[in-house]
Amino acid sequence: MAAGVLLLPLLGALLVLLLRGRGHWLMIGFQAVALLISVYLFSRLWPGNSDAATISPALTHARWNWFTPGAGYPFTLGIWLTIPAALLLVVVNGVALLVQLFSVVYMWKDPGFNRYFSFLGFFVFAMLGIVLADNLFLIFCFWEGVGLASYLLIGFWFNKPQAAAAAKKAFLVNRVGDIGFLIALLIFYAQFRTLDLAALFQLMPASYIQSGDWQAVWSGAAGALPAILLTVAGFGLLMGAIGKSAQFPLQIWLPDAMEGPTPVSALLHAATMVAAGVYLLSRVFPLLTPMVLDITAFIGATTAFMGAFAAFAQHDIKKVLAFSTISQLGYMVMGMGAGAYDAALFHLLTHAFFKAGLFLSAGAVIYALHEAAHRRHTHFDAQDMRNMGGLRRKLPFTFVIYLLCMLALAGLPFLSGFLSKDAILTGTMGWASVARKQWGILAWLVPLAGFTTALLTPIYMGRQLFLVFFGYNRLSDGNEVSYGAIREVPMLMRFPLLVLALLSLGIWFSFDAFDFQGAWPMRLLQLPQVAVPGSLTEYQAANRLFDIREAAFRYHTFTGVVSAILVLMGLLLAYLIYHLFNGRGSFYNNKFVFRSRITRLSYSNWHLDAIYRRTVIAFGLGLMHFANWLDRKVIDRLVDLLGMSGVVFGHVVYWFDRTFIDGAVQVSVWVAGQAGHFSRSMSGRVQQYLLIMLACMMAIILWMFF
Amino acid sequence: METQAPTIAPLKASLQAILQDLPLLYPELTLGLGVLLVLLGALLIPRSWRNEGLAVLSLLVIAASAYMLLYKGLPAEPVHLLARTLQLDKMAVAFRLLVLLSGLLAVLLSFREGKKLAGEYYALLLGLLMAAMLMSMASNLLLIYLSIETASICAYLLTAFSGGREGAEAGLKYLLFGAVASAIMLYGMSLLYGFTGTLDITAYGFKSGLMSLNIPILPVLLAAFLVLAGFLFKISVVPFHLWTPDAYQGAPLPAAALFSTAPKLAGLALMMRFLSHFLEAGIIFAGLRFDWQFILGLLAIITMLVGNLAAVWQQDARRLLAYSSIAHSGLLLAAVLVFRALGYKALLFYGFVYILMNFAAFLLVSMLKAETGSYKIADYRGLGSRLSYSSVLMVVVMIALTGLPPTAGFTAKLLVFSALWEGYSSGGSSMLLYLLLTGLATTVVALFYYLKIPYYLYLKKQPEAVVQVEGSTVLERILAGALALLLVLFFFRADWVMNWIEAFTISQ
Repeated sequence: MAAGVLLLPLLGALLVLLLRGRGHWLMIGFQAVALLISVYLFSRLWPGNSDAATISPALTHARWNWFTPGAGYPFTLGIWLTIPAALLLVVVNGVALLVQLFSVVYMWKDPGFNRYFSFLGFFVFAMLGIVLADNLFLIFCFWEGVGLASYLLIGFWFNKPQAAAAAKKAFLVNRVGDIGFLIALLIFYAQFRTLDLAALFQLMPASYIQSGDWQAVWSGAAGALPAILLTVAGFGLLMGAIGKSAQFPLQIWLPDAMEGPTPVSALLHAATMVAAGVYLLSRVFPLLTPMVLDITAFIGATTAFMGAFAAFAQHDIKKVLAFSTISQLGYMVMGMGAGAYDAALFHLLTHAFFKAGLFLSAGAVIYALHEAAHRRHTHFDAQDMRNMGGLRRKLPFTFVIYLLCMLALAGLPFLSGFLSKDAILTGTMGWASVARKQWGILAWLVPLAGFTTALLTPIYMGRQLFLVFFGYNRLSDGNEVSYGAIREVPMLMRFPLLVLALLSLGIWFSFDAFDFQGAWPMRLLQLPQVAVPGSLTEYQAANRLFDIREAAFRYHTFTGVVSAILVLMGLLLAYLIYHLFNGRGSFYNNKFVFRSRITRLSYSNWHLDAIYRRTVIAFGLGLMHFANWLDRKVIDRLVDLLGMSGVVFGHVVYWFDRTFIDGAVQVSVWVAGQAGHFSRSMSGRVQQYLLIMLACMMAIILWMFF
Repeated sequence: METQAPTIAPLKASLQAILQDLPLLYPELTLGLGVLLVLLGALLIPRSWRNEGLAVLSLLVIAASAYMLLYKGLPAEPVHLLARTLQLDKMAVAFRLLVLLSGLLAVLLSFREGKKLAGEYYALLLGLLMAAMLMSMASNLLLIYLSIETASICAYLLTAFSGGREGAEAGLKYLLFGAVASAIMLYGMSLLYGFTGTLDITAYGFKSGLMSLNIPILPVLLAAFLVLAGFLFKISVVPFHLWTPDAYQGAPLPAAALFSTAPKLAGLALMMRFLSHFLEAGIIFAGLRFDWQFILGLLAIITMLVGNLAAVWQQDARRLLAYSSIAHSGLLLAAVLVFRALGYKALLFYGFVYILMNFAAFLLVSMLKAETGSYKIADYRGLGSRLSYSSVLMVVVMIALTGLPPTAGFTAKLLVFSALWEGYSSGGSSMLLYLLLTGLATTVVALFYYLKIPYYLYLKKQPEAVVQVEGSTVLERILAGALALLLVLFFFRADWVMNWIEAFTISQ
């Protein structure tokens, strides 16, 4: 059944390509069926609906033999439906369905309409594959599939050079992370001769670390690798997640990915695909050592802060959201690293809804401005916030949706974002109080970054809110006429917006708006049993996690109060800085550029692109130049020499060829051509046909007689 | 009174025997019934969906016939049916299945073409199938003649069916040519009857009659050759091939695709049956065994050469396919001439794959015609970028027809060639070696004209914006995709087809 969910979008994607007319109804139909099945599967797994005994293993874990290598276990392909997987199934299919509905209007005039829906279908297939696969190798395959879908969709308007470049950048940067993933795969396979997750969870605790060696027990034989490889494997998986989830230092691809169509940004680059890294960490959580988890927390905290900072000084409406996505993904990764496994997945869930809502609202704004420009025959950048302002009066519906989703992202109480963010922050406090034994004062940097980001988030989101929807409209240079032509978006676009905004309310997740502990995702998601072996002197990983979670309880009230205060403060600051003291937005016109050192740092995303250009890329280019020089001056010389002798020999052969062999070929070609001419020359006259036939027959018969 | 009594009793007995045989002939009877149903349906079904209705009806009839064949019509061992006029063995079952497969594909192709035609078109298709199925079982000169003639008449009508000058001209040419061919065959048959006094080629009297010392050897050979001429006409072997290009050009496209498969394969089956009995008789001819392998091999070589060389010059896709089908006939005939189980297996494999690729080629030509409004290969210029789906499939199918990997066309050719080599190296006639060499050489020639189509599709620039006449339908795209996929699949899993063929190998 789960396999059905997996294959439906793929089938839809293939059929849409074959279709001559518009194929959206087909894809959406398949998607809706997939969503219904996922909801059913999720309800079957809901504790209490059916006790564990009645859930057949066939429903949750199905395996098929693929091949059996010489040594080790048979290689299987399979589907493993755990509770987080079922939850993600519903989220991915649900958001995909809404985004497809939205896209029908958004992409209607695009000549690549069917191609677009086909790519979306393929993406959903690959994403569901990551969610469901029970085997690291299979996950890797789908992981690459998702990368391909992302490449295709970012570069959907491949005629635009920026889009093509962005697609290439995303693809290449992701490959860096994938190298880590691949290394992890190789290590696990070398150690355990299997990549099946369920098997790894069994084999991992059976392995042990003794005198610097990591001993594994499988099939009666024992394998040993240096103990450090256990941590290296964890880092490899982390690297994969860093690439896909745009974490520091690989977050540079995500802002550029905004070149794709906006619904794509909503689905891939906000709600689902970028969350795949976080999901991967949750899937392999039992295989990560404490060391890896700690680094994960630091990386997440760094990314959360860097993303929030970079979101400040952007002109592009989508770039702000892109940096905010990076920052929120940083939260999730930080939570995962801090052992707040359930909180991170909870945040993934809430973030998927409100961020998709935000992107689609941004898409609605862009669509409305674009249409208005079209109506008045003007031309301006419909994504540049300097051309916006005062849209609240023209797009009241979009404004309300945007406001709800934005407040959820900012983390205002009574909205979903508050609950999940609070859960993560509490988790990091607990982590810091335990990890300070290893990391000292550094450990407190993680919650500090978390809280700083919690303050920054409402400020930059408030900035966007005020600049886009409040104040005066800033269209100028003859484009002012378009303001009057702005119309609210069509109903088919409004429906997905409404659903996503409603899902951003906290009430769906927890009745008590301040108690994330009572939220159903938190109760549903059980912390998995940690499986990594610890050496005897070191403190056992499982115990450590237990301590962290116990410590976190003490900070529950503290974080709740502090983050609520921070949010309100942030919103107030945003109002003051970007609205009241900003001439109600009028200073932010199309002449405005960021001048100060600090805003330029934010605008250029910490100069990361420039840094990479000067270091990694410069090094790569230097190496290439060197190789080029070597190739030309050294190797080519040798080849030339060899070539020269070849040419001399060739002349001899040429002469021979021309005189003797070509002559023979030409004769045979001429004969063949003449024969062909003869055999087709009789055309038209049936008497002639019969004559030829009878003459041939007579010839044969005569020949038979003599 | 006394004279009548002995004749009535055998008549009654033979009538009863005929009735007992009928269940094994249900596949043919189903098709016959289908002809009537389609004729009735053509009158009753409203014009708006007549074509679709009749096509679906024909599909159902063919499916029912195949069901009857597979689940009711398999005798445990070879039997003679209908007063020894038919011989039903495993070979007959295999060829009847192939005939039904090509009929099925022909009807699927007709969804577009059939719209322009009257409803009787489907009746004629089914009639042709029924005749072809009888051909692959016939073991009596009378029934051989009748079944060939039925198939031919259906084919003449189908050729002229599209109406218009082109169709009528092609139909008339085909008819005149066919009439002469069947007159020649009938003359040979009458001579054979005169020599032996029986029409049943499986009967002892047939052999003993031919062995009789009163008859000189040469008239027997002449008579046999005249009969074979009739078969060669159906298989379109040189010099009996002249009707082929005109008929293919004039006939509706699905019918042309059918002509190049069903009657041809049935003709090959008939030829194998006839030759096997005739050779048996020939062997006992006091050492005067005539080398049929040589004379037919010579014809096969000429056929391969003429078919391939003439195809190089064709500008019209249908004529190109017609010459390509002549060229394939030569190779199929070569497989027959191996006279061994290996050759027979290769023939079945080749026949099966040939049906797939031939129908795929015709289908794609029909789709490109729908897109460009032309059958001229020159008008395919630069379509590769605009119609990427059909163009990619076209490349696959053309590679298959040439006989290159990774397609089943390669496997099929390889099997035929290795059967020829096997036959030659285990002490067979050196003609088999010549056949093998010609086959290899003409494959190189084939590369030129088959790849001409991809060359135009991809390497030539489109002249200007071409007006799209009507698009290809989803059904056509799926069907073409499936056929091309099968061609690639059976390259990698040739064993699936081989397993099926093993079940139909003659055990004796």
